[in-house]
Amino acid sequence: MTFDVAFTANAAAQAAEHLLAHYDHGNDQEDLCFGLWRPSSGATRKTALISEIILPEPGDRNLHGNVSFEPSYHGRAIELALERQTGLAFMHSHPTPGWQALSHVDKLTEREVLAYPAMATGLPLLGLTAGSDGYWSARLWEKQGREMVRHDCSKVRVPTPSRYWLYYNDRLMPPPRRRDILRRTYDTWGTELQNDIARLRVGIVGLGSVGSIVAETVARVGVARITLIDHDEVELHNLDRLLYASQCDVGRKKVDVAAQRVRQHATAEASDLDIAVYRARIQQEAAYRAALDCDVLFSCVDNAAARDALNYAALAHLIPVIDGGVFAELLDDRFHAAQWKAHLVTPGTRCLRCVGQVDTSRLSTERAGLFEDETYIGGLPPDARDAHLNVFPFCLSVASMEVNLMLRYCIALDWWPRGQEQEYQFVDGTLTRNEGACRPQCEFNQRIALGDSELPPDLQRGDGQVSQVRQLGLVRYPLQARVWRSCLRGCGGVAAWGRRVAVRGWRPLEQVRARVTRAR
Amino acid sequence: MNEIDTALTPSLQRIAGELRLLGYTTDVFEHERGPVVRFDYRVETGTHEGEIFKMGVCMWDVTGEYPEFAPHWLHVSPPVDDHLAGGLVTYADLHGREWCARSRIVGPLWDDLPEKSMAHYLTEHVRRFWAGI
Repeated sequence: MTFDVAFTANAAAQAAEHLLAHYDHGNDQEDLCFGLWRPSSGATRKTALISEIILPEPGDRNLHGNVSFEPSYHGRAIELALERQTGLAFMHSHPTPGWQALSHVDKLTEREVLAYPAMATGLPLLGLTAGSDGYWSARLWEKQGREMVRHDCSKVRVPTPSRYWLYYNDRLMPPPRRRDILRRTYDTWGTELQNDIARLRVGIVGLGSVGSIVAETVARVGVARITLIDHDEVELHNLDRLLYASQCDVGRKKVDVAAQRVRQHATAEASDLDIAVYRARIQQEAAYRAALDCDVLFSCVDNAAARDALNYAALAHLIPVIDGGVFAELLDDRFHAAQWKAHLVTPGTRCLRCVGQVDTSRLSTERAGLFEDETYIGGLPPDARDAHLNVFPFCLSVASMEVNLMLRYCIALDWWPRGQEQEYQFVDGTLTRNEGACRPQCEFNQRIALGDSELPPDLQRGDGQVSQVRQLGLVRYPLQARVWRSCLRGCGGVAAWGRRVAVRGWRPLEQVRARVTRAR
Repeated sequence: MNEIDTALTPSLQRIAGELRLLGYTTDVFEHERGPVVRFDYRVETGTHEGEIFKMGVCMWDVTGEYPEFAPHWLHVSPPVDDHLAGGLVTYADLHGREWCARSRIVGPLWDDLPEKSMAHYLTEHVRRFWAGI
C-alpha cells in the first residue's frame, strides 16, 4: 500500500501563501496552519485529499524563528474536522528547499501531541511540510496496535487548471536512471521534467482505436507505471483502427494485446516497468479502484456511464482526466465533415457533463439498462444517436492531442495560456483552444475533493479483488472518537490531551508546547 | 409547496414548483410506474398549434435527480402520435380520459442549456415534440 496527498488548487495556494509569506519577504521564519482532508481509496494507494485550510487567527500561534501553536487553535481545528467529518492535517514550513525530513521535535509534535487527538476524527493525522521553494512533503500517522506508525507519502499532487504540480519523495520514488534510449526526450524538456513525467502512474481507460495509440505513446515517452482498463475483445471490424492488433488477435482481450505491445515498446527500464491490467469495465469496482491509483487518466471510452465514472475520479478524487472524441458527420449518406477534440478535466475546468461529453439523457438510459432496447434508440433525437464513425488517421490525431495535453499540463510554464480544451476542424484545418468553467448549478462543483463519499452511483460491486480493498479510514476508532469528543466538550479542548499524555508518563502538553523546528 | 406535492419525490416537487411559477396549474396522477405531474398546455407549433392538451411529465426510467437529469417520458391526453419509434404506454386516468406516454429522451441539448429548467424543457424539448406532429 502506498500513500499520497492531493490538494485542490485553492487549498494549495492558500496554504503556500500563508506558510511561505515570511520567506517571500526575506525573513527566516517558519509558520504553521491546520487543514482538513478526506480519504480516497484506490486498490493499492490511499490518497488524502485536502480541500480546506484553517488559517490561524491572531494569538493562535507564536513566531520565534521556529513556530508553536496555542491549544485553542488545535482545538478549533479538531472541532471543525469533527463537524465536517474529515481528517485533520497539520502543516508547517521549513527554510530549506525540496522534500523535507522531520526533526526530532517535529516528530515528537506530530506523533505525541497531534496524532492521538486527531484519532477523534476516525482518520489518521496527516502531517505536511512546505520547503522554502514551496515543495511539499507529507506523512500519515496511523495507530497500529499500541504503536503510532508513520507512513511517508510517495508524492504530493496539486492539479490546478493550468499546471500539474508534482512533489515526489525521492526515497520512495527515486527518479529513473537516465537511459540513452530516451536521449532525445531528455534533451527536449530536461531531466527534471522528464523525471516528473516518468514517475507518473498513467491510467488508460478504453483500449480501442484511441486508447491503443495513447498507450503506445505514453510507453514511448518513458512512463513506467501504466494501468490498462478495458472489458472488450478485439473484433474483425476493429482492425482498421487498432494500432496493435492483427487478425490473429481477434477474440483476445484488448487489454492483453495492448499490454503485450506496451511491454515490447516501453522505453522505461524493464525492472521499473509496472503494467497493471484490468479486464473489466470502469464501472466495476475493482477497475475503478485501480483507476484511483493513477495520477492521470485517459478517457478513451465510447459510452456515457464510463465517462461519468471518470468525471467522479477527476473531481471527487482529484485525478486529472484527459478525454477526447471524434465526431464525423454524414449528409445524405456521404461524408460531410469531421471534428475531434481533447480536453482536460480537473477542478477549475469544465467537467465532462458541462463540456458536452456526457449526455445526461443517454447516461440515464444506459444506467437504466435501456440503451440496448431498440425501441428506445429509435426514439432518440437525431443529435443523440450513436454514430461510431471513425477512421485510423482521425484516431491518431485525437490520441496525439490527448497525450500532448497531458505533457503540456505537466511541463507548462507560468506564461503559457491555459489550454485545457482543444478542438480540430477537419474541413477547415483549424485548431482552436478554449477554456471555460462548469455551469453554476453543476452538481460536480459540490463533489470536489469529497473522495470516498462520492463514488459513481452505478459502481458495480466487483469480484474478490474488491473485497480486499480497505478504506482509507484505515482503522476506525469509534471508542476513542467518543472519548475525545467528550473531552473536547467537557474539558475545554486540549487540556484533556495533556492529562492523557501525563497518564502515559509523557510530558504534559504545556511542556511539550508543540514546538516545530527546522529539519536538519 | 402545494399540499399534494409532499407525497412527491424532490425532483417532481421541483418540477411542479417550476411549472406553477411559469403560470401552469398542476395536479398529480399516481400511475403504477410512478407519479405524473400534469398541467394544461397550449400547443405553440405543428398541426395542433393553438389547441390545448393535457400533458404530464414524470421521472420514470430517470436514474438521477432533476434538474441535472431531465424527465424522460411525455404524457399527452388525448393521445397523439409523432410517428417516431420509442417506448409507448397508454392508460386511462380516474376520470376515464385516455392518455399516452411516449419515451422521448431530451438528448444532448439538455446539457448544452445555460440553465436546466422547466422553462427551457418546454421551449426546447416539448416544442420539438409538438413540431414533429
